[in-house]
Amino acid sequence: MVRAAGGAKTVVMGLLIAERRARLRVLVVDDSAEFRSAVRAYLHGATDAQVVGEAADGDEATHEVERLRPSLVLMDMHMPICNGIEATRRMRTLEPRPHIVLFSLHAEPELQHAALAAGADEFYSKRDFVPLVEATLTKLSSAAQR
Amino acid sequence: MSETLCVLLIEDSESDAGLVLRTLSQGDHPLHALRVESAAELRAALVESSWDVVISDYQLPGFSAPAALTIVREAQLDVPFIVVSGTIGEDEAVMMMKAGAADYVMKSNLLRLLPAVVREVSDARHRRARRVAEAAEAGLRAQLGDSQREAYEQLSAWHRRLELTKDEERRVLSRELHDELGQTLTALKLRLKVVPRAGPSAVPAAVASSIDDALALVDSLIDRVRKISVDLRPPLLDELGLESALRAFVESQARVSSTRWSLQTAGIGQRLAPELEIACFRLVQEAVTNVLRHAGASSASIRVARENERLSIAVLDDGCGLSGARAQACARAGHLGLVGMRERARALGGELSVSSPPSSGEPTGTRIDVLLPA
Repeated sequence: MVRAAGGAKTVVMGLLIAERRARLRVLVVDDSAEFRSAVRAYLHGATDAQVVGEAADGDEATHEVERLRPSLVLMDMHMPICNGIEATRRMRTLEPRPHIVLFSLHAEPELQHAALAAGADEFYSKRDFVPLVEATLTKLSSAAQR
Repeated sequence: MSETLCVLLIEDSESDAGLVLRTLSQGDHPLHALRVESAAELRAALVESSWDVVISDYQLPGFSAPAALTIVREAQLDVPFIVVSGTIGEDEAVMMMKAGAADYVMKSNLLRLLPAVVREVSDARHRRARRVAEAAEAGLRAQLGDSQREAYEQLSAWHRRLELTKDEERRVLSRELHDELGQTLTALKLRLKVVPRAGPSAVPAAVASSIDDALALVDSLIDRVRKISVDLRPPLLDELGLESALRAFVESQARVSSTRWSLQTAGIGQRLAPELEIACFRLVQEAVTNVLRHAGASSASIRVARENERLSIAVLDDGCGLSGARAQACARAGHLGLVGMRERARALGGELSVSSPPSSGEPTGTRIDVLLPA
């Protein structure tokens, strides 16, 4: 009901947000192609962030960050070969340093602690991916505006 | 899967009882159920018949789940106790779990009930089977003559192989759950989330509301997958190694028990062989469970150290000690995982020893030592 009444207003706000978010370049890192593609579809369909690349493990992710210079890396913690924690350690020394988000299916506080200790900026539980990524995008866009 | 499921239901509301039974009747088992609503009726039901599971409302007129749980525990029956309530708060739920309830399910989320019941009933059946096996093994050991030692060693070796196979199966299953089911479910959730963004004009209200329902179902599936996968194999162990996983485990136990825990580690900052890490984690886990269940300790300490190519684990508590008679009583009741722990240690070429100073009436504490080649 609220939605119907404020419909027009929402669209205008949406356009404004679209302009603000236009600059966000995102790298999606997960060993599940299914999840990567769902993130891509979601960001494309529901936000104005642009997915510039994908990687399936931490090694590949580090190369892609150097090559594509994304401003945001969304990365799974649990991956074969080189996991998210190790990749974060490598990425945090890069210039310019992307905003790094590690996520996990699990939500144990110890995982969050380990993610932040490795140098990640944020930790998400995958179950709550949508509201959290929305908040990150909003935060990064308004920071870029200033 | 056609064994009858015997359910003892503690519930004063006939309609709520009907709801619970309808939910359970969707499973593979024919149901046999009895509804009681007082302590006297519960006691009588426990004596008259055997039950696979007790499901209890939290608050009834003149009766409650905590009181019911006490009665079930006093009857010394290993029957899983599940609380189903519309009103239970987190504090009450934690108290119930600490008192020995197997699970709690909100009336608003009865979908969870059937899987919880199936899981707990199957766990309890396994526990019973293991108790029988352990008792048989203890009996066998007592009667052994030298000539039969070889046969016993053979049996022991099989047991060891079983432990290792179990760990490996659990690891594979946990990976499968996490990597396949978990990933697909989270992807599905994202896909569903894109739809409402098309806006109210593009998505009819009925569709939007059914998508919301679907999202709630996906969330509940993700939670279950997560829980099963953690039970099978702690996620911290794979990602962060033994030290962090142990620390997290001990901290989580410290939060829910009145025992003061301390953990000391040395030389395990670096990764060990995966089978050694999981064995060590499980050994500490089982030792901690023993202390929590039986020792009544006010403080306990754990030391895990790797030195001279050996991994030593020591768990000490200041509880009621473990006299021979008490240990045997526990083993008979199937509580003491010491047999399993010893076999686990042997499977890796290690040894386990238990010491408790001779009892002289005073609390003496117990010490469990494990040495593994590393």
